[in-house]
Amino acid sequence: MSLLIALFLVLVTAALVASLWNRPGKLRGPARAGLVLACVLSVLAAAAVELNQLTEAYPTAGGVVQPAPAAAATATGSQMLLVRVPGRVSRLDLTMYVYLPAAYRTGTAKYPVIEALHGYPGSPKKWPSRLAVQSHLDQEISAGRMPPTIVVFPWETPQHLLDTECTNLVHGPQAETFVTVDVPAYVKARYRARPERAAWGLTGYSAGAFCAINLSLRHPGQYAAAASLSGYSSPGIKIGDGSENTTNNPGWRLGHLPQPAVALWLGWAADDKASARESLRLARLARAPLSVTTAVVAHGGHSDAVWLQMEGPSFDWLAAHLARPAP
Amino acid sequence: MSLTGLPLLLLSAFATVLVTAATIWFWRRRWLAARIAGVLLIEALVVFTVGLEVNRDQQFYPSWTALAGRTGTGTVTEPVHAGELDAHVPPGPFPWRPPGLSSWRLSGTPIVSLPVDYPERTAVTFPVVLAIGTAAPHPPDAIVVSITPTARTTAAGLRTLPGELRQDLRAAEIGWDVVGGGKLGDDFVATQPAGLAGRATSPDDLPPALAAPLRLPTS
Repeated sequence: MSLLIALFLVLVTAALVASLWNRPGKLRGPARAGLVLACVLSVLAAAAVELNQLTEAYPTAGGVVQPAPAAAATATGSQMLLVRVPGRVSRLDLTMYVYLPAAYRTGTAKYPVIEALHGYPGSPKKWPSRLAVQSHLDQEISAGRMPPTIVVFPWETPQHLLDTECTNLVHGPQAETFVTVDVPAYVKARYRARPERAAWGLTGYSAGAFCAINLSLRHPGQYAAAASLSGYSSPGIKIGDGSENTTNNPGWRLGHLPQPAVALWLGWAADDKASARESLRLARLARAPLSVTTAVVAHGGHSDAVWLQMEGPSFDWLAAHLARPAP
Repeated sequence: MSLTGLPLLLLSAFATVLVTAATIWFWRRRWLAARIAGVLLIEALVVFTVGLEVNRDQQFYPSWTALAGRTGTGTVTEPVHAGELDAHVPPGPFPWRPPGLSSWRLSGTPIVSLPVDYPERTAVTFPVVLAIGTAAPHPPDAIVVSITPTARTTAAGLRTLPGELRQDLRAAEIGWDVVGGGKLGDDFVATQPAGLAGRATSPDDLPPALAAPLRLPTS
């Protein structure tokens, strides 16, 4: 809808500049400049709206997701909640989507948990909107390819255009602490979530895929498995302490540190050259007890089509590598 | 013409210049419709050209196929293969005599216990508990294999055990829990492919019994 409005404004400003260009008057020069500026701004606005629809970087017009108790609840099916996570350790106070499987309504069991991380620029909303994650999860669970599982979708940054790559930026947001400490504490306190390391996994696309790999290697005592959908072996940002080249660099970690007993699923599109090259590098560096499974689609680049294709296989793989629901 | 190639980018830039020149020419004639169309075309071509350059640099959509949302790859679900013993499993624990048994150098025949509903759930594979010389836990939804090693039993000799079990029963390819066996148990885990087996986890930490997963081609 907002794209239609933006395109209408483009049309209106084009019509104005065409019709008012030759209007006489003392302020002709400034008026023309204003008309051209309006044209440029309307085009920039339309492009920005379209880019935002692709990335979901700003999920609402105001850029702030308002918490709602049950955003997408149905009477018997799964639920997609929107909650606010007060980051007591990281001091980040951010919203998060929470997927509760249908079985959660009636059962008493404790469930495994997957943290699903978004790309940059982006937001958690891309998972339930453009990547249709709720229907993917419902489908995999109902087919028996994964057990009922809690899946949470946290923010990775308090500033929409600040790329943290889920690291603790020096003099900046403590995103790693938020994702690995505050979010798990919140989930374990509020939901029937299994607390054991064997029942916790990570997944993510693009920058979120880097996050999943990096955090699983940095916190093997917390996560048993991680899936990377078009990920990288290095963060591509400056963290402030040089660790983007060492301890926050999975490529460096696999080559220089003992490899932990975690399982990684690395997926990429063959024509996504950067992700393909870096994912293959990680796969080649992996040594036991680290285990790696690879998955490749032929085309699609670095786009939603690839991640939509990978959702089912990656969630199924995670399910097989995480502990079952416990009574 | 490639979506990320220089020819398309140059063509788009040339078209932008051409349309701009044409719009200026029409502008003097004060044809309102031509002016509006010219402005809109210039705007569209500028956005298209910038978009091409950004995509050329970042490779979000490396091809027209990618832009159309086609991955050229489908997910597959291989059906769960029935075990050769599936039609013959008795109720309760039973001795298991696979072809490679003699090479394992055990003191007796392995004993296998299956979930009570194993015969009915033909579409799923089950995680495995391998008990080496110890009393085995019997978690639900798991195949339990109990073996008694001798001094001549080695991890290398037992390397074929997972494959033999998957041949005979619907055993999972990963998620095995190895209980007991001391160094032999450790060595068994170490000699298997990474991720297949772990050591003495809680029975609740076994993965669930699952239907055949969706898969994509590997690299």
